[in-house]
Amino acid sequence: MRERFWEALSLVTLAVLLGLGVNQWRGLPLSPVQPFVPRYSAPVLTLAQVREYWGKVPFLDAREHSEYSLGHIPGALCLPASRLHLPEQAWDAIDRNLTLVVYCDGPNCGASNLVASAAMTAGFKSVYLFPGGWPAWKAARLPVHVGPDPGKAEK
Amino acid sequence: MRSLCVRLVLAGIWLVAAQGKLLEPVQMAQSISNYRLLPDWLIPLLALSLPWLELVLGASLLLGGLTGGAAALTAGLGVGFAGAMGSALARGLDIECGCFGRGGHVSVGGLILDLSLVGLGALLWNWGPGPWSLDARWAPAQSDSAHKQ
Repeated sequence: MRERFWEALSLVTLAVLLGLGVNQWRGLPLSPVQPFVPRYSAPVLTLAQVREYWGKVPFLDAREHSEYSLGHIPGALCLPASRLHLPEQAWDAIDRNLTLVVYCDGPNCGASNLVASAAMTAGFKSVYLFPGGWPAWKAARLPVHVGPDPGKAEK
Repeated sequence: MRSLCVRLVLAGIWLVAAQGKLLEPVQMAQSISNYRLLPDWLIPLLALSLPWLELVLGASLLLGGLTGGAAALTAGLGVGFAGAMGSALARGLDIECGCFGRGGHVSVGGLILDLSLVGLGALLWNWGPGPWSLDARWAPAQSDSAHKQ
């Protein structure tokens, strides 16, 4: 028993040394001492998963109204990250028990990260990001909708 | 012979699990972070070590060296993985698993695989490394006595 404990400890030590050593040798792609900051503020979905969710749960488009009007995932609500601070953006219109899918203009667009964080702060427990976003949806030739968000048509 | 079979199956699982992740620590950290179970300061260390531990375990089981320790770690990691995946499933999280490189998602099948690691690890713990192993070659007397423990 005691011997196996030392064997296990040796294996773990070897693995940690290898992991840290290779990381150092590769020029620290991941700092072992800095707390990890996730690139995405919520779990991410692939296009295939997003298609499963589509039509079943609310989708939030985090781009600006102008971009949204030029084309968006049908049924998505327009909630630009730049308007998150406005009181009118109360989340109460959406049932907090529902899963939310947030997207914007591709993997490097930060707006969906902000909106997803705000949704989780507002009490939504199940929030997902679709990093592929609008470009991936469009490239897959899935249905699109053009025009302003009906709820905010006059804005 | 039965020890050898279990060792080869487990070594295969660990080596396949390790190969897609060894040089992708950032992706691994993101996968771990998606589970929302561990503090942020612990995630990099785990993301850097875990794939290498899988590789080390695979090599150890393949060659039959330090088999007792590897069996214990296999069962222990199986418990840990099953706990993480079970909690993700219970919370309804639809996240990337981080099990075998990119693509796979948390699933009941993954949970069963994790639990089979626990079972096979425990069997190997009981059976010892068997005759075709470095352990038996280095210390034949000890591998015999492993059955009597």
